Amino acid sequence: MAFNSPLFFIYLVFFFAGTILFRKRALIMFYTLMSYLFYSAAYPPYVLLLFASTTVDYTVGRRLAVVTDPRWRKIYLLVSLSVNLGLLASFKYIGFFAEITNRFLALSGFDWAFAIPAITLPIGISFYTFQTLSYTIDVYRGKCPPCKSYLDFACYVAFFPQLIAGPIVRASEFLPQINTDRPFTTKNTIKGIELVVIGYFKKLVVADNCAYFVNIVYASPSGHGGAALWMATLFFGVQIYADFSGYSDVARGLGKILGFDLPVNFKWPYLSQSMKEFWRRWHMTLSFWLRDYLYISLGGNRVGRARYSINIVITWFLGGLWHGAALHFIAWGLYHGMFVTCENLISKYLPSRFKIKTPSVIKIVVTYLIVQVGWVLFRSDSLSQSYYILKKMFFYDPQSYFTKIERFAGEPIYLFALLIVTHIFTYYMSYDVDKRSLLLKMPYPLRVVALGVAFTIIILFAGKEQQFIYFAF
Amino acid sequence: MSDSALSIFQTISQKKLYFRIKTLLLEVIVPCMVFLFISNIVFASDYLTEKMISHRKQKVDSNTIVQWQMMRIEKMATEKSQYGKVIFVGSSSVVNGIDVNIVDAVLRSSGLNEMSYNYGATGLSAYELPLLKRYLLRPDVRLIVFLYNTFSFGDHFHEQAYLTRWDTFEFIKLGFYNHLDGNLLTQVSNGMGSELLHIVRYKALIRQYFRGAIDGDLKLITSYYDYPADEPLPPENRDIKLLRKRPDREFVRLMVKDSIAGKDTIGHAGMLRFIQLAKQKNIRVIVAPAPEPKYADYVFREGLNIDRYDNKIKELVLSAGAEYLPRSYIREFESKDVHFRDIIHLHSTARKIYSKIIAKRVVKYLAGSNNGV
Repeated sequence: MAFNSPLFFIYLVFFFAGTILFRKRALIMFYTLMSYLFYSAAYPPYVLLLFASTTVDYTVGRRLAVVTDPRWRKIYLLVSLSVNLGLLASFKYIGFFAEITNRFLALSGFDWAFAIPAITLPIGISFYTFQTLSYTIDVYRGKCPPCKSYLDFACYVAFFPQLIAGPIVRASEFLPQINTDRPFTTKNTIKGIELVVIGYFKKLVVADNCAYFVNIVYASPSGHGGAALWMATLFFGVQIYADFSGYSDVARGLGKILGFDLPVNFKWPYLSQSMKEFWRRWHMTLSFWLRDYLYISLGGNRVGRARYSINIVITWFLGGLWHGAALHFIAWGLYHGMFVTCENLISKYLPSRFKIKTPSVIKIVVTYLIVQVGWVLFRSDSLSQSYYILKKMFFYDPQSYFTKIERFAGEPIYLFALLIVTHIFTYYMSYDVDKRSLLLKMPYPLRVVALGVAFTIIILFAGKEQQFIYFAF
Repeated sequence: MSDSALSIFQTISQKKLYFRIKTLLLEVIVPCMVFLFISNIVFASDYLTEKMISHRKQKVDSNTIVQWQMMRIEKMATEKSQYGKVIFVGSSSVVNGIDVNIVDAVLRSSGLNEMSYNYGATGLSAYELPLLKRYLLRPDVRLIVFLYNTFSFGDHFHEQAYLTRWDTFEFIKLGFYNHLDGNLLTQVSNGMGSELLHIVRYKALIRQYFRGAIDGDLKLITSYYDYPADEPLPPENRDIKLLRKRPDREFVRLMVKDSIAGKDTIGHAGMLRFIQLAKQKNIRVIVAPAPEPKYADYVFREGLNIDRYDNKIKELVLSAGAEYLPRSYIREFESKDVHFRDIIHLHSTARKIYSKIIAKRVVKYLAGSNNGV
């Protein structure tokens, strides 16, 4: 069930109705059951996977609380890792691995191939398995006390605003909030609605309208020149940012209405001055997850130069793979990893006399362009298509470079301008909403009219409905 | 059961309940009411409706056309006719096939005062009739003439239509849940959204109108026909070698194939349901085939036994208590390729002829001929 479907609003009516009626434990049970209902809307049997991941990790957490023998603690942790990563591998990557193996077998001259299973990806599996893994690893490391209540833990894992596409919430952030009985406080409701409206605007008006142009060009790269491919790529950069950050805003907003503070996931990423900074501002909960549970576990930067570089490569390899079971996603991850590695090596090992002071605006533009080029790998259907598109973008052919560039005259430019305005507006709102809330400052009548107008604008100018991009992960 | 276990079933204290309801009401429901007001009162106002019906951008997409037709129908439905309405409904064959001025002239010359209305809409199929009941089955409607095509009784929902021509209750009554592609709940909820919200139902139309107003690109619409009246006449005999056969995956061909199979479809169920509803309102219904050219056999009707198709509809209609007009009333008219500008639509000159033909049948019916039609 997507946040932009009318069915979701019907669901929300029942959800809110139940929320105002129940207290404390009954409310948590209600949240959990309704979140499972939310999840089951896509494909009911996959609710069992969510249940399995929850139950295994809750049990592991409880055992880690009492077991002190380091070998047994490791075994329990391995159980959690095996189950969660096993689920992920089975449902998300098995087809990919089979395909890679078959290609290798074919290249090696073998006549035989694995059958590639047709498995529907359980929606949100990449998110909730990482979420539960963060819990067990934190408990193992002693950074988070184990959760005593199964109900609380189930609510944490399944909480619907962040279940399907993040943000990836740490147990230590969420669990302490569970038993505070505070849905529908006036301040939180207003701030929450503000976030929700901003999120829907970004997703429905900006992202879905951008998608129209992106899809046309990427569906037929051979019919478009390099300039049009550049424009489509830049638009995709807008689309994916608005889509994903919009979803995160809606998730945070709904959480806020219910009394929960969910972590910020985006912080003006396109104003980053380096690739490292980009990953401190883009999909922050995932990049921090990778840093805390993978990169640091591998040794981080407290190892030799060679090992440090390998750690980064592994982290980005898996980061790319997390996004999709395909070579072009891995390439995208490694592309980012390569730049992050270079930056780290330069800043760490290059003597300061060789370092050039570059104006911030240059750094921002360069970083932005590097990220946009990377989106070609992300958006393409395959590695070969990525290569084809990049070749067209970077090699100037006077006869065809500007083919179909007229697609991007007029309306698309308005969209681009709209994103810039949205970006500026949301800087003050979405990630620092506690301090800056436009709606809270408004008198009630004006607030009500502003919201009514905002809903109207969103509905009226929403693009053709597109699935949230990160639902595919 | 222990007290602590029981406590989870205790609901909230009254004070907290009051506070939560108040917040929900003031901060969520009231803004939604404002939105509903803007959507269903401001955008649905007579002034804006009149503007959007009479002006359109030079170039619009098919979604906008479908919504424009629906807005026009919605407006006509609210117009009260002192002497009663005669409504012609069907696909774009009806849009381009009925000249209401000619029909009215025939009615007046026969001493009848009813007003005729063209409720044609692109792709409108039989299953949609009950979904449009709130526009068709009004107190001042005396007679509804449903002119069907050979693709009107298929088993598929029209992709563009379902978000504009929808009635959730009637859809549920039809019971053809398994006919929706994709997720049923999502599609029904999308349909409900368009049914309840004016700006969802007419989104494309509203957008293009305001965009056209900003760009200065709006033109006055002088007729509801899809094609200009001064088009050159079609050839006397169409060269079928120049015609494109419709592939089986296209909507019109899918619908015809359903009819070739001879099974009962949502079209038949919709027709039956509509006649029942009309009878409850004492509104008479005539069902008649819309003219189609012979060369349509080559383009999209291949494999269809038209007589068998018509007979099935005739049996259904008569058993439900409505009137049926057999194809013989247009056999000669249909045989002339020159009447058709394409596989479905009449040329403007043929529209005048056909309007007179159908109007005379309507006169016979309204005048209460013993032989019916």
